[in-house]
Amino acid sequence: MPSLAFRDVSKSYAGTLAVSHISLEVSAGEIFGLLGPNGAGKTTLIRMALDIIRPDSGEILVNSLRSTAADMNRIGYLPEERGLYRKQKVTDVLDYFGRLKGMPGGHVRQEVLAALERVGLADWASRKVEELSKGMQQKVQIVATLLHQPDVVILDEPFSGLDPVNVRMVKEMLSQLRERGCVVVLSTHQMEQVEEMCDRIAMIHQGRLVLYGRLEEIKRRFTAHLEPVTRIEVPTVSLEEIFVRVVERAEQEGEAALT
Amino acid sequence: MTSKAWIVVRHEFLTTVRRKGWLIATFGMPLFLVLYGGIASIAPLLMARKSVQPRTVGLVDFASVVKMPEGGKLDVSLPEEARRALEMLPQSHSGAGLVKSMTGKIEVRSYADELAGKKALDAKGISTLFVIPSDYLERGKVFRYSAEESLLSEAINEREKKAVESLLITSLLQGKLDPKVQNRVLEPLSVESYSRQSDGSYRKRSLLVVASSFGIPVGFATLLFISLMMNATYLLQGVSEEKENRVIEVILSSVDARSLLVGKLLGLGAAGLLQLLIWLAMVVLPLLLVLAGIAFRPQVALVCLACFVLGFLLYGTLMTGTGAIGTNFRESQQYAMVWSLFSAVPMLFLPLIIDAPNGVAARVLSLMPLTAPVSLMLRVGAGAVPWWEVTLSLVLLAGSIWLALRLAVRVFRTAILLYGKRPGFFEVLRWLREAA
Repeated sequence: MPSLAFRDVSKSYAGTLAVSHISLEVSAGEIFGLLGPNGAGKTTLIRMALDIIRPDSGEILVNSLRSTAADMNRIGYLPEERGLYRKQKVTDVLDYFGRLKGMPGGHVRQEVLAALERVGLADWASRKVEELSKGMQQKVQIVATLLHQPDVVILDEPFSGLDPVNVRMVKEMLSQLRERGCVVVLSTHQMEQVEEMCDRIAMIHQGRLVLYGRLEEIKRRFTAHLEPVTRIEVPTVSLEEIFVRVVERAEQEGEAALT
Repeated sequence: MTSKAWIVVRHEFLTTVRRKGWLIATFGMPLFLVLYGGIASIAPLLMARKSVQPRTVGLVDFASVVKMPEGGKLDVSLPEEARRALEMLPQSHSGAGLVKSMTGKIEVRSYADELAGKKALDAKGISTLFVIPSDYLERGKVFRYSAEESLLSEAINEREKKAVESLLITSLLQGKLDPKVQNRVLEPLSVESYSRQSDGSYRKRSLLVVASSFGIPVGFATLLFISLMMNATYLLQGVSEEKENRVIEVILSSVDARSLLVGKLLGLGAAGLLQLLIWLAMVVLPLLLVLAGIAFRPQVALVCLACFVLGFLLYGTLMTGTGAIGTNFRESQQYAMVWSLFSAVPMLFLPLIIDAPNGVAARVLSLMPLTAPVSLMLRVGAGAVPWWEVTLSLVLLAGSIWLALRLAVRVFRTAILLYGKRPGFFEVLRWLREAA
């Protein structure tokens, strides 16, 4: 069964702790929300999962095994920015990414064309990436992420700058991945998308894990502190509210610890 | 090397050779060189044409030292040098004192007095008037009057002066010296030079031999510099672009930094070599073959090729590592410029290396990895370099590539993921220390 696990992982840069003793696990068939304010350590955690950087301590397991170079072929990554070569043809870019993910040379071109057909970009296959609209580029990016049929998919701000049509397309893609039994990690600041899509979440602040568990349970826990307004209207707290409260509390605790 | 590195090599090579800029430079450069050479040779050709046109000079001999041949006929049995000198003598003498002699390219006319000579000069009948005063034998002074004054006409004036000089020597020594001695006075020495070769033998040295044997290394050195600048710029541009649009994160999630760097270097290096081969095939090789049926030495060409490949790998590695530090292409280019300056250092020492290819400066420059590629090329072309020195230079160069790659991978891996933040000098030093 596909899985992704962080076991007591730490990483520091020039004496500054970016990630501190984080342990969490993402299972097959779930969409996992990775939350946290800017500079919390999410990107470092993602880069370690992708084996771009190595942790100072702890270990990262892909499919229950210590990650190796071969495991990297099982991971698909959608970066926050459009990670495409703007001056190159769509097929050439996808061909290159597919080959780098271990797809055989003779097979990759056919797969690329079939994938572009599925997302409605067959007519744009020979065009340069820069000629495509932002939504089209996002589709190409998604094709690049999923072309090699990865078990583990990590998406960094996939909804950023997209119109409602493309937001829906990304959501459908996430649902399909969950149905296929993939491990899906979704890193975003858009709380309403997390509330709608994610099964479990982890929140990182200043490199530490400050919130981790099933989304319903977390919301229930935070809602329990609120008084009902009427007998029938039970107040619920939004994930955004939880996010703000957790960050404020963590910062207060941090300041108290300093004083 | 990993199979993924080969995928990077293939991608970088194909991307580069499909670039419009690369295609224009590769196929346009020879055309440009031919055009440039053509335009640059127009002025010398015009000058040469002017210099071979028959010139007419006037001569007023108040000292009566120039002797005329009897009947104006030349003695064809005389040696070449003397004949050439006598050819300049007047062949006929009219009642008005006009002496005319066709001297190949210089025609000498004799005038009875200075006034007549200057009138001919004003009327452009002659280009120069030489006046030999009556006290010439005591003082040796001769006056020259020219119709035109320019720097470019100096070479022609010099030829006219030589003609009159030979005419005077021949006249002064006629009948007083043995003809052989007289010839040696006219042309004291004709030097034929030989220089020692690497196998201990001596080979006839001529301007053509020197030019052709030196042409290969200088040609390679220039091509290395041009190709290095061009392909290293593509390398930098590619890395900067990947960094700016975050493609690098996607790539590094599939291939490790070392394989990526090696793949990029080899891909761009292969494109550089292809470019070089095309240039050689189109212009340089035909030129070298024309120059040198005499001087083409395969071992020199092999050393040059090794220097080119190793030089490209060293500078490419350094430029990529340094270029990754910049936050955008322009900034990366500025950092990488340091290495471009290093590669040009041997050109500053060009006269020294040519003059003494086995001197201290040439040796030191060819042993230091940053200056070795160009210096060694120049040395092997300029003279015999002991084989162990060539080997040592190449081994040191290869070793420095290994070290540079190790350090560059470390800097690349760290710097390439820094966005919007320029690392300080000491931070980069710390990365290098960690890599070492």
